[in-house]
Amino acid sequence: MRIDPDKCIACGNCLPYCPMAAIAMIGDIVVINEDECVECDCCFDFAGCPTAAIEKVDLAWPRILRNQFSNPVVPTVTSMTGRGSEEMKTNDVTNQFRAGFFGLGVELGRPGIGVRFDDVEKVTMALAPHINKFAAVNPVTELLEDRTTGKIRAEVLSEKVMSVLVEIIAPLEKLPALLQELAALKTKVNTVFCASLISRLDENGNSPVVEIARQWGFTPEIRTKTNIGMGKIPPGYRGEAHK
Amino acid sequence: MSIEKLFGSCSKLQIFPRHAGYSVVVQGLYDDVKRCCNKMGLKVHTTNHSLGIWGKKEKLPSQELLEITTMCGHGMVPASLVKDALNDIKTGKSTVKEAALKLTRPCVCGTFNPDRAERLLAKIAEKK
Repeated sequence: MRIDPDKCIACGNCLPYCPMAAIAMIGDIVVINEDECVECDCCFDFAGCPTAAIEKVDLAWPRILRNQFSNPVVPTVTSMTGRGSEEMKTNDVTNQFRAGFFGLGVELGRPGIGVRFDDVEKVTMALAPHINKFAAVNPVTELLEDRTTGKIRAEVLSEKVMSVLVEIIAPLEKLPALLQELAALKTKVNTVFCASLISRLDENGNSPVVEIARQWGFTPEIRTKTNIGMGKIPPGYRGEAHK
Repeated sequence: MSIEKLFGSCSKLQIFPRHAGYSVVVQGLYDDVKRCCNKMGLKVHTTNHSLGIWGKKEKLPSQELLEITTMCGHGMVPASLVKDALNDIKTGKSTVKEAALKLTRPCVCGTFNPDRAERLLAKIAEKK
């Protein structure tokens, strides 16, 4: 994104529309800090510039990732809109989170701080030795150079985006080690992050991950997203549920 | 495809077409969701429990601003826009309702709740 200095009348209307506070009035000129801009299009789409001075520029690789990970209506490298997979939302059909396993989602950068991929890599590399796999249909997984080490492609590391979701699946016995790895990252990343635990419930509606997390001193929130089991497997479906 | 709907009570959950085969995810206090499902003869299947926000929390805006901005899960409603909206109210440039609607626009998915924003803006504006 850029501001055409010949058209800009320095009214300042666009300044509050930047979620990264990357637009500033310098003297009587309004400028966008390109390094901090995540190309979310918020200023272009919503600020209503009276002289149409805000201009989209053609984004080349890897800067295009900023737009894909920041504007929710732009498809990402996995050709999906959104930043993650369907995860537990369709688990009653896909059965990707089975008894004995759990899912972990680590969302970095939100609310409203943003994240660079070098911080995302700290998470993927910390988790990689303990897990079965990174979620297949996830744009971060697509950016991994090596799925066994969690290393991300070098050319994207300095790119900043609004938020990123890392998703993994691992056996239940790995949960304590993963939680400790995550806790250690609290002071190592330059942004905020939120971890969430996904699990198939037992016959009585209890989650095995909640008990383990509590035993290790973590406090899962009592407010949840709950799949209430109404999905039906479509005829001919050959996903995880049939394995 | 996903559809989102806000339900004010357990009984309203019953409008879901039970046999259509769609996956349905309910957000709320887990014990309440489980109780509602049991009442309807449904068995809860899978949960997602957050462990809260970690890391550089000192970078976050105040809790009262976060209550508004986080209604857009994609982070498209900036804290600076909330401050701007509050200033519009203070200077008489807009009503609380107009200010809430201004905040609603960047949330392209439509999950931002303008009625709640109006209540929260009014509460903050009253204090200042």
